[in-house]
Order: sequence, then structure tokens, then C-alpha cells
Amino acid sequence: MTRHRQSAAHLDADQLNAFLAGALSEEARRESLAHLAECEECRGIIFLAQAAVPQPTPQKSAAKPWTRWLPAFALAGATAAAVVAAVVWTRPHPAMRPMEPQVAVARPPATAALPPAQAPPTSGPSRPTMNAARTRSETTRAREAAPEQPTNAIQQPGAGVMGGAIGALGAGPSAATSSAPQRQEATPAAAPQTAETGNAPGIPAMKAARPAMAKAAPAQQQPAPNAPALKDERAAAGFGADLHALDLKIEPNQGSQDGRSELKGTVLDQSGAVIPGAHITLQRSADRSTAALATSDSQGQFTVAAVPPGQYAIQISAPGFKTETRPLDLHARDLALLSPVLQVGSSSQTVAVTAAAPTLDTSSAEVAASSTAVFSLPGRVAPVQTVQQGGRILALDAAGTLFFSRDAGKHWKKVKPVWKSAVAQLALATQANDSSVPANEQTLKASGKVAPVFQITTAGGAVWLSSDGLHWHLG
Amino acid sequence: MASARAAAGLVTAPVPSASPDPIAVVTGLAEELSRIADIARFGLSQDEFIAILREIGRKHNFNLSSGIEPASAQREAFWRGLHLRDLALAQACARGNELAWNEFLREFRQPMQQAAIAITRSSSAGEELADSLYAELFGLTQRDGVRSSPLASYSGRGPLMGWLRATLAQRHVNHYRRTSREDPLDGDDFPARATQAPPEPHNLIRLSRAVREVLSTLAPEDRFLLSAYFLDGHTLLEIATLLGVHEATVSRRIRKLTDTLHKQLVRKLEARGMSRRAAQEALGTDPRDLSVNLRNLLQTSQSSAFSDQEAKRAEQT
Repeated sequence: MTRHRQSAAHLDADQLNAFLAGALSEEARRESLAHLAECEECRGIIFLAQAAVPQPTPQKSAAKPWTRWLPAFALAGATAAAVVAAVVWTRPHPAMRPMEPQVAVARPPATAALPPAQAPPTSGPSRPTMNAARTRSETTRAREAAPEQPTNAIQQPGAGVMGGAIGALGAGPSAATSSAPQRQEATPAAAPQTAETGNAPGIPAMKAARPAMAKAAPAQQQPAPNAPALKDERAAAGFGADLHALDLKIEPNQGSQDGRSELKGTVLDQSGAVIPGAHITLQRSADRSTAALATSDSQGQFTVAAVPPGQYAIQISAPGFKTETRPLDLHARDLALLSPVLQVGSSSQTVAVTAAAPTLDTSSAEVAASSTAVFSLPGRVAPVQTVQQGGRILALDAAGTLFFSRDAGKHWKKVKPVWKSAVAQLALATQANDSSVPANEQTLKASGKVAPVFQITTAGGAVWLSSDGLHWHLG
Repeated sequence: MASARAAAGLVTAPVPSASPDPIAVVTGLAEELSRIADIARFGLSQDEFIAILREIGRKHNFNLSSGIEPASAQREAFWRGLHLRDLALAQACARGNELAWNEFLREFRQPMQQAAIAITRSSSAGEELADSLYAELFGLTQRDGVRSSPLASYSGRGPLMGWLRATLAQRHVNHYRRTSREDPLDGDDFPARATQAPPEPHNLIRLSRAVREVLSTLAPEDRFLLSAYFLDGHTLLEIATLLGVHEATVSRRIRKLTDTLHKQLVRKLEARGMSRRAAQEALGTDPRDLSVNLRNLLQTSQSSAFSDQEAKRAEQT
């Protein structure tokens, strides 16, 4: 069938545009709809015009109502699982006890009474989560057992060394408060290898661990096949990083199907804000050669896929932060989940610890630290640009959205853009910095205006000014 | 052409002398609006710009119902709600200002092309459409020896990009109609399916009258929903996006509408002497057939079938 009817006055482009923009009065809108209902051509035009609007997130409106809640359900499920896991870990678990006989191989008097049948040699200690549980829940016993841990560490260096601190971090704020003593316990486990090879950097924790290491030395002689792990541990100690800062969890048989391992994680700073652009280097422990490189994305996330099983040292560095390094033993099809928390460090510190990291931009370390570490915008996004005047902060994220905070970054408000092109630069308005402000202000106050404090320049070159960060006018 | 007419109207329409010049009263407002619109950049004088604003306000009665005299606050709110910078840019372009054209090009050429490609669903046809509109906007068409640009009809209600998209869609549909007069727009229009057994002529008359009566009682938005969904075959999502409501709302309303329509039609037909069974048969007992029948009826009915006046007239007869 062909077109059959047209009413006299079609809606012009301006009317259609106003309709689509919701700028019509109720009466005009009704009239437009009445015409649209009967005019096929105008309907065709308005739907075509609507279809040409670029849709950044088409899924959002397309989603069925129930699917919108999926992320919330997933989050709730994950939280519940985390709580359950934390409860299980923080309670002394009888099933964990049998792991000790394996430890006891090095110290017959302490653990000889335990039945060897309960100690399957391939179980337990090879997983950091279990180590974490034990270290946290049995603080005093762990202190006694500290000299024994090298056995563990040798079999699974990535797990044994880090267990306590990782568990503490993973269990949330309450566990984190108790992590200090555990660090002391975890460190001795790493220390023996360091001392054994004669590498003794001036790190207090290492020094404190030496007596324990001396006792442990005989135990290390036994599992000879794992010698490379010693190098690994030494490498970690040699880097001298804050070992407790790298949260690690290994999930066996979750990696890729081809027998390789996989690494995933999110780089955070101490405030919990994500750090985009952090460099992740995976070095083979055997020859210190680089196995893989990655950089965290705008969400601070990184993935290193298809890593052959083996022993590695993972190093995470970001400008303005201390470089963190830890050993990592990956088995076939392991999925290693890391949540490294980097500490803000001065550039000199960073240089000292990571002389091997050529990508480090030491000159801008302070600036980067102030702009990325202190504030995190809604959605835990780190700002790419900020300007601050007292407690008032204007921040720009990577997507070009402008945020404003009047309480030094505790709460953020999205600034509605009145400009067309993207924001290119943030600055404090010249009047605010100028020494001739008083005269200026007087004239401005006389005219009923407030002196602009913030200034932005758009990609189009337009300068916008604002006195309160939220209301903007062209400069 | 509607836009050209509007452009002419913009220039020639007199300002009602009864109302005092609202902007002159508030001198600060004129300056502020001009500053927001960045008119100096586009070579517009403040007087010119204020005249444009005043004309737009008059033309649309400041978004108030006709006959209502706008208060100064309402005028100010209307002007402030306009996309002032876009308006100044469009008007400056319509006046042939070089700087404004450069700015327009820089800002809109790319998006225009993308929109044209989205509308035509072809990169070559899209580019051609965008280029032809660009030439038209530049004012190659002469009107009484004066270069005229459709951009002059842009009123700032809604963003300029939206206006450009609507104009592109308009030109595309016009072009399509010119080049293939007898072909339906792909996907947007399809012939109504014939019913298996066409009703008797007198039944058809009863039906169409009943449908006319029932449809005339519907609100414009409901009529639009029915047309867009059943006649054009647009998806719920498309309609929802256009009306700014959720997809589920549209779905619910359409279902409710068809139910109500079905019931009302049966009742009307019964009132006209048809038995219930005959009425059901005429409409089709399956609710899905109802839409088919409706499409048939709507497509063959007069264009004024929707208008309230016609309905009243039908009621009288």
C-alpha cells in the first residue's frame, strides 16, 4: 500500500526537535502527538531522527526490569560469601589442623604426636588462603611455628610468605587492624632464604627475622628439588617491598583451559581508590627475565593471561607510589587474583627500591600522588586533573566528566556541563590568584557578582568561570 | 517548505505593540543572555540577538497556552531555557558569518555525517545526504535575491544537533519519496494483510464508524502509541525512547489500550444491531487479529479519523 494521506501542516524540524528535547508546553506536545498519530511521514521522520541519536549505553534502557538488579544480587551474593569466608577463616578450624604435620617434618619434637595420615603432602599449605586462616587464627602458635614455615614457603613460596597479611587484608577492616603482628610472623618465613644466600638488605623486618631463620636453616636442606623457589624468595626480599601490601588469592583450576595460568587484579591506593596506569611486571624467578607486562586500566584493573606455570616475581609500580614486589608460584590453570595496595611514597624512596623499573616517572611523582592518591571520584575513579581552593576541589575524570567537592573530596557532585565540547583544562580563575583581587572584588561585588574562583577551558577553546564550582558562565 | 516559511516569518512578523519590550526593561538580562550565547564571537550584535529572542518568544508564546499573557519571569525562564549558544551560532550562520561557519563546521560536520549515516544506514548515502544538507544550510538557495538558510528557523528549543538530525531525517524521507514514490519506507511501512474473509460492506461501514468513534475518544498520546506500534511496527523500545518513558510502560499501555478498544468496539457494534458473535467475528476473536483489522481500518480511514472534530461530527450523524 502506498502513502495515502497527508495533513496540511507537517511538523517542521524545529518542532520535531523541541518535541524530542521535551521543550514543548503540554498543549503544544499534545498537538504534536495528535499530528504524529495521524501523519505517517512525520512519524517516520521523528523516529529516524531519534534513531540517529548516538546511544552510549544502549543496554541500559533495553534491559528488562529484573536484569537491572542482577549486579546488586551479584554484589550481595559476593558480600555474603565474603562474610561467610571471613567467619570461617577467623575461627580456628579443626580441619586446618592436619596441615601442621607437614610443617612438623622439620621439627619432629613439636608435631610428632600428630598422625601422619592426616597430612596429605599435596594439600593445605599450597594455598595461601589456608595459610592465611591459620596465621590469623592461631597467632601465638604461629609465632612458635615461624621457624618451621620455610618448609611451607619452599613448597609454595607464593603462598607461604604472604598468607597472613593477605588474609588480613582480604578479611576487611576488622582483620586489617590485627594485621600488624601477623606481618611480623609472615616476614620470618621470607627471611630465611634471604639470609641463606647472604642477601641482607637493611630492612628492619628482615633483621628481626634472622634468629628464626637461623633455626630454620636445616629444614631448608630437605626439599632440594624446590631450589629455584629460594631464589624467588630472595628476589622478593631483595626488592625490599612492603610484602603485606599485595593481596593475593590463588584459585586453582580457574585459569585458561590450555594449562596456562592467569593473573588478574585491581591496583588500589591506601584510601581504596583505584590507580590507573600502574605497571605490572612479571619476572621469571629463574633468570629475572620479563615474562609479561601489563598496565592497569582506568578502573585500576589488569589481566595477564596465558602465563606458563612457574615461579615468578610480580612487581607493581605506579608513579608516586612505592613499588611493590612479591614472589608468585603459578601452577597449571591457576587463577591468581591480586589486589595490590600501593603506598604513597616519595620519589627518592621509589627510585631506591625500584632501580630496575625504567618506566618510573620520578619527576612527576609528587604531582601524580597528589592528584590520584588523595581523591577518588564516585565510582572509585581517580581524577585525571584537579584544582583545589581550600576545601573546594574541582576534578575531571578520564571520561571528561567534571566533579565538584566542597568538603575536600568526601562528597562529590557531578557538574552539569553547559559547554558543548569536552573540558580540556582546569585552573583556578586568575582573579582568585591575583594580588589585585580586592579592587576587582569590590567592583564585582558592587555589580552584584561574585569573583570567579574556578576556570575551565574546553577543547573548543572557550573559557568558563564559576565562583561556586557548580554554576558556570563564559569567561 | 516549512522551515523556509518559518524563516520568512521570523524576519517579517511584527512585534505586538501592545506588550512593552520585555528585555529593554531588564537591561541586565539582555546583556547576560548575549554573553551566555557568546554572540560577539559570531558577529551578532546584541540588538539583533534580542530581536531574534523576542520573535521566538512571541512565536511560541513563551511555551504558554495560547491566549495567556506571559509574565516577565515566564519570559525570562523561557529565554534561559533556550540553547542560547546554539541559537546564536545558527542565526549567525544563517546570516553568512564566516567565523560562525567555521565554528559550525568544526563542531557539527562530523556528528552530522554520523547522524546521516545512521539515518540512511549507508555510509555513501549518508555522506551524500549530509553534504546536500550542508549545502542547503549554507544558503545556496536564493529567495528574492537573498540567500536563505533553513538554519534561521532553528529556535533554540532543543539542541542544534537535534535540529540537524530532524532536518536530515526530513530530507531523507523527502528524497526517498521523490525517488521511489510508490515504495514503502523499508521496514517502517508495510501493506496491511488482507483478512481471510472480508466483512460484508454494511458491516464494514459499521466497523469503520465504530472504530472512528472509539479512536476519537483516545488521548493524542494513545493514538500516537497505536499508530507507531501497529501501523509503523516500531519497537516498544523505540517508542519508549521517543516519549521518554520506560519500555514496560509503553508495553502496559498498549496492552491496556487494545483490551479497552476491543471491548468498546464490540459494545459499539452490538449497539448498532450486530449480534455479539457477529461483532466478535468482524473484529476477529483472536486479539492478534484485532491489530490486523485495526491496521486495515486505520489505513483506509480518512486522515481526519483521529481528529476530535470529525468524531463529534460522526457522533452527530
